[in-house]
Amino acid sequence: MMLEYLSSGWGLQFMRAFATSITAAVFSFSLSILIGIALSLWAGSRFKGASTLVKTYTYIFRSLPDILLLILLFYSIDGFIQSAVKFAFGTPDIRISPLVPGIIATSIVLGAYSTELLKAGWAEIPAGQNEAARSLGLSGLQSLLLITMPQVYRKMIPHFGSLWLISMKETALLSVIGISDVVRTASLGARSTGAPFTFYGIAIFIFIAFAVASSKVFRRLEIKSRRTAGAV
Amino acid sequence: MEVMVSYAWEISSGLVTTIGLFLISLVFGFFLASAMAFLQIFFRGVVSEGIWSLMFCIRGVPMLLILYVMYYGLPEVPLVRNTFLWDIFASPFWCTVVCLSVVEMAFTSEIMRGSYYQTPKEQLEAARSLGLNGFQTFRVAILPAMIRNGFAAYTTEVIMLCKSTALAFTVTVMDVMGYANEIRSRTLDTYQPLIVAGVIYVCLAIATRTAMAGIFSKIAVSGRDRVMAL
Repeated sequence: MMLEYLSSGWGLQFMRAFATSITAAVFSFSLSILIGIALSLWAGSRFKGASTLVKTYTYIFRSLPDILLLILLFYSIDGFIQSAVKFAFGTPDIRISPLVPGIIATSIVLGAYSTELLKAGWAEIPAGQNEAARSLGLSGLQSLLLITMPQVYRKMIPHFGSLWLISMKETALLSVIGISDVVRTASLGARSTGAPFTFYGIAIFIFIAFAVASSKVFRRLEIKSRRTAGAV
Repeated sequence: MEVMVSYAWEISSGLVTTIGLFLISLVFGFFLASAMAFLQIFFRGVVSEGIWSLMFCIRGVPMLLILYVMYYGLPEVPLVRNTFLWDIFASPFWCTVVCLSVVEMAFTSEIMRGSYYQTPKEQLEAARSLGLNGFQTFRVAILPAMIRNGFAAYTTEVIMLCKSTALAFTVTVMDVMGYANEIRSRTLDTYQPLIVAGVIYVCLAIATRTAMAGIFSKIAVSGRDRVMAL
């Protein structure tokens, strides 16, 4: 029964939907980590009020329901992109895929989590490490990239693993906005064929297989980073 | 501004539903999680591994998908349709409660399991060598340590649950998010109703954090006080 549906066109739909979900997850995961790095560096910098602003951002964004934030951000960013396109090219005819504002919205939501994680990871690195690197003649950037970041990375891998799984789950919310990811394709299939268990079953299977695979990858990364810990 | 106030009035009528969803599934989820953590800790082998895998799978699947399966899928099953289960799964509210409890169970049982194994072995052996039996050891040596180690993670999880209740609007429950969404589709005004709902959720989260901090300072006695009390 499942194979029958998969071969009759739904298989292709699911493959396309999975590609959409993965794209959204990969981009929002990477962007959210960039946001996290930038904001935790900024919070620790000399700017007065920076740390308060970052704290407010993470506090509010971690208190609000993700779906509410996504809808709010999606429509703001979508409107912004459309007026930017109109301004840049002079015509409103150029269509930007709704995936772009969707990805930006999920990145901003996930950015709050990764900022919080990275700030905690950063706090664990003793200040003496940076000072020692500077006294050896490394520049600020070199010290950041060669001394601090590898240690933060090693501490953060398990947390990044869970953030990655959260990113993948977060993309499911994009289906509410109307982006055809795995969940939306499954609901459409369930509704139009009247076989909810087959279609939701396929979607659940995709997510579980994905979670198992990624937890294996992250465990391997963790072991590998422990092995190289003494070598640096 | 006047519009915002009238929105706030309408949206706040969903507050009881949101708080109901949150508290009922918090309690159900906690007891289910305790049961699952207990089974995983005290029945080693197949039972423990099976339950762990099941919890892992639940944690890997988006809540939205679980909610859809329960609301749109389960009514197709004759067993659900013809028994008392129909009373539960015919109502979107109770469907959401079941879904939230199951997800809460999967995350909380892992927090409980993790904090159990964080307790140092020596602490257990010391309690045993003082002549305490199994339950007394749990009460004196393990439970306080579990609360100390796991409470922060549990607080985060409770806030997550509070936020997750907003998904209920996708299966037609009229909670805070449901009313905000209803206004949004009626008036085509995206921002104001959602901002009002957002303020309500932030207030809920602040209240939850304060309550959890209060509970923590009440119950997290130091290990020594527990022995004295015994």
